[in-house]
Parts: sequence; structure tokens; C-alpha cells
Amino acid sequence: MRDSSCLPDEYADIYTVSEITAAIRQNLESEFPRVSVIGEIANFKAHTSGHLYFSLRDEQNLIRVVIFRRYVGNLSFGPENGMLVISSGQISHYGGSGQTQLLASNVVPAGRGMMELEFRRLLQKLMDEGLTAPERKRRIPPYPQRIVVITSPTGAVIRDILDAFRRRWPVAEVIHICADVQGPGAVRSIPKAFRSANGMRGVDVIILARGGGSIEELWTFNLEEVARAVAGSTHPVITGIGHEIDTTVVDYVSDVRAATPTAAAEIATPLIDDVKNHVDEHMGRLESLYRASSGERLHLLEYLLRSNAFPALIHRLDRAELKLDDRIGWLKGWWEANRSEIANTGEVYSFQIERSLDRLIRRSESRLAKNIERVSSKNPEQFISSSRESLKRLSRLLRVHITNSLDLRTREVTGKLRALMGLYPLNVLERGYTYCTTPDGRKVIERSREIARGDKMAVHFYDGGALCSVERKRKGRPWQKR
Amino acid sequence: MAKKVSFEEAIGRLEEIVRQLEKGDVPLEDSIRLYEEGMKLGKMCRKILDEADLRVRQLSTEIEGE
Repeated sequence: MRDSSCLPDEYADIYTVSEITAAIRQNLESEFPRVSVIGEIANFKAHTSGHLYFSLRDEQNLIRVVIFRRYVGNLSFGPENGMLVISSGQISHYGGSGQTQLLASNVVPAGRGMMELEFRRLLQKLMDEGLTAPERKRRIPPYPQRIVVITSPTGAVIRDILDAFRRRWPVAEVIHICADVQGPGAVRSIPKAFRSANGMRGVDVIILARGGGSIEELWTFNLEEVARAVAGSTHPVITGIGHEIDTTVVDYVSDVRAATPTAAAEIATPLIDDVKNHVDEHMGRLESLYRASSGERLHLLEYLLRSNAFPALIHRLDRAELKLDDRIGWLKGWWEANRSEIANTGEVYSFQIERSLDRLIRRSESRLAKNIERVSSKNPEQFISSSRESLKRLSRLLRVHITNSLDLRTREVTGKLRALMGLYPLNVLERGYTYCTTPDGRKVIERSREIARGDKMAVHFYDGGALCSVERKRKGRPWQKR
Repeated sequence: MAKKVSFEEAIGRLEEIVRQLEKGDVPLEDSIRLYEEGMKLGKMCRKILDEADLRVRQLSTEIEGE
């Protein structure tokens, strides 16, 4: 294409328009792959293709800006002529119009306005995701046991919050997770604090708090990472950021927004005195209910007395009483019989003693008489005196003998009495014995000869009785298996 | 009440018992049992409230080595 032989040296490197255009574009694109340019919008035009065209200008100069359709959706506002904006993108050169231009992927308004719009953009985004929905808001437990507070390690905020807890609800356990709530570290520090709280068990509520400050100082709470940490918290969150007038994005995604840190502590806790009154009041109501129901129980008793159940009960009692009378009657009879026997035993013994005593005395007297007769012929004086002595001795011996014998008998009788007491019939029955009576229960059957085949008799057990008839009889030892 | 009940559970149950008894359709036998349970819960709550003493623990979240 070039003819170097007939052209001067400066024509050695000749570009075609396309070549130079390509070279310019390459250079520009590698030099300015990503720039942000601030300027005022002019010549704004929204093309039917969906791309946006405008110029950015300052006092002297102007540069073309294109926003391709795929980026238009990112914009947080509608660009208009005269707006001061920051456009970010790549510088390029478009050969078709011979113009250098900024291919912008994002445009934001400059200054405070930008912050405001950024706030709205993030909020809208979170709203679209449903993170601010009322149905997502969780209930704050009314009597928290464990409260996590995420705020700066020192300062008025944590002090005010702890004071509020001490005053209102010292029942709780407080875990203060220290975090940066301002500056470049905050964007990582706060999500980290939430992650550590998420791992804790039994947390009733989390308070995220920060004292008042400028919009720039509070900007941390308008950052997406922080907002997502709050929205994603395992436990309910109360936010208390800045003063009453300050509202941040986290306030929209938390479960409850409190105006200030202290207000957050107050929302999180009941007043202990109120709770004490509440408990006392319920216990009082319980007491009066109980008293009322005691009255009711009396009514129930009256009802029972009138009801059908009661006569049946009385009937059973009567029957039990009759049975008891029966037993007592028999027992009395038995006792009387045995008592006389016991008394007789005593009398028999004393009679025997008397008799033997008489015999002894009579024998002694006759022997004495014989002896007197025998000795009167010899030396009566001496004999009489010696006989008197021996008589005295004999009498003494006799008295001792009688006393001993009586003691012995008394002991025997007492022992028998005791044995009889031990055989108190009900006790015996309790040990498994039974006794038999005539069917009317009046006479005890003690021997097999008292009954005949076909006779009826009542068998008495400890806990009841049976009317039996005699099938067979046998003499001798008690019934045994063969 | 084998498991340790929380304060909220205890006070909630107490309220429930009073409500139930005040409604008046509880059989007499049950009402005595409920009364006893309620008084026990009430006393437990009072004890927790009377012995309350705020406990505070501080944890730091240093961003280390990032």
C-alpha cells in the first residue's frame, strides 16, 4: 500500500484511519481500564436500544459517556441533565464517530446526595429480597435470661446499657461482644461479632448499639455486609443506633428498632418490680381459688352423703360391725370359760397344799403324841422340852417348805396365764390357724367326736369364714396326705 | 419438671394454671394438683427474682491476621 521510494521519510509510517483508530483504542483502553470521572450531565439521551448516552462536562471540557443496556439496571437513580455525577468505567475510542468516550458501568450522584441514594438503593435491594418484611420480625422474649450486646468495648454506650439492665432486669446474664462500630474495621468486625453470637446457645436477644454521630460516622450501619449480618442473625436483634432521628439500613432488617442504645436495653428487658408484682398477683389469685375450692369440697361431701353411694357404704360398715360383734362375743365366751379354768387351777393347787399341810400336821401331832406316851414313863421333863425343840424346828421347816411350794405353784400358774394370753385367739388365727363352731357360731367344736358326717359347721379364718359340711371323719392324728 | 425450666416457661405455666382454674372446669382432684404446681412455680419465680444479680461477660472479636 505504501510507496516509500517517492515519498519523504516522515511518510515512512502511514496508518490508515482504521489502523490509527485501532491503535488509539488499544492505547486508551490499556491506559484507562477503569476510571471514575466527575462531571455534570449534558445532552442526556436514552436510546431506543436501551443504551444511555450523555456528556460529562466541566467549565472547559466535555467527554462522551455511554451506558450500555446491561448496566442500566445497576443505576440507583435516573440521570438528568445538570446532575453532578461520578461515572465509572473504561475509556475507549469509537471509530464510527471518531470520538473518545467513557463506557460507564456505573453512575452515582456525587456528594451527600450520593449517600442518600446509595442508602435507598441498598434498602430497596434488601426489601426486594424480603429481608425487611414484617412477618420476618421475631418476638423478643419477655424475660430474657441471656442477652448479647454488640458494641464498642468502652464508652458511654455499654455503660448506659449495663446500667439499664442493673436497674430493670438483673436476672439476665449479659455477654458483651466488643466490636468496632466505626471506621474501616467495622465492616468486618460487626459481622464477625454476629457470627460468634450465632454460635452461642440460649441467647434470647442481641442488641447492636452505637452512640450518636454524623451520617459519615454512622455509615457503617448502611453497609450491605453489616445489614446482612443483622438480617441473618440466629437470635432476635434490637438495633439502637445513634439518636432518635438517625435511621440506618440495619434498623430496617433488625427485629426491633430502638431510638437509642438505652432504649434498646429497655425494650429488651422487663422491669423486675413489675414482674415481682405479676408473680405475686398470680399467687394471690391461686390462693383465693384454693380457698374457694375448699368450700366446694364441703359441698361435695354433702352431695356424697345424699347420694346412692353412701347407703351402700353404710351397709358395708354395718356388716363389718356385726361381724366384729360376733367375734367379740365369741372371744368373751372363750375368755370367761378359760378364766374360770385358770382360777380353778389356782384353787386346786391351794386345796392340795392345804390338804398336804393338814396331813403333815396331823402326822406330826400323832407322832408327837406317840412319843409323849413313849417317854412319859422315863424322863418326861427332859423329853418334853427336847420334843418341844424339835417340834419348833419341824414347824419352821414346814413353813419354809410350804412357802416355797406356794411360790413355785404361783409361778407355774402365772406362766400358764401368760401362755394363754399368747394364744389370744385372733393372734392365732392371724398365724394361719382356724377354729370351728356350730353354724350359729355359739359353740366351739374342739373334738372330732362332737361332729358327725353331714353336720354343718362354721370354719373361722382370720379374715372371714366358711360354712362347711362334714363329708368324712377319721380318728387319730390330724389329717395327713397318704 | 425433670428438665430445668426457664423463667419464661415457669411464669407462663403459672399464668396458664391460674387461667385454667379460673375457668372453673377443672375436676377437683386436678385442681388441687394444679394449685400445688402453681404455688411451687410462683415461689421458684420469686426466688429467681429475689436473688437476681447481673452477670456480665466481655468477649473481644479482634480481626486477626486478615
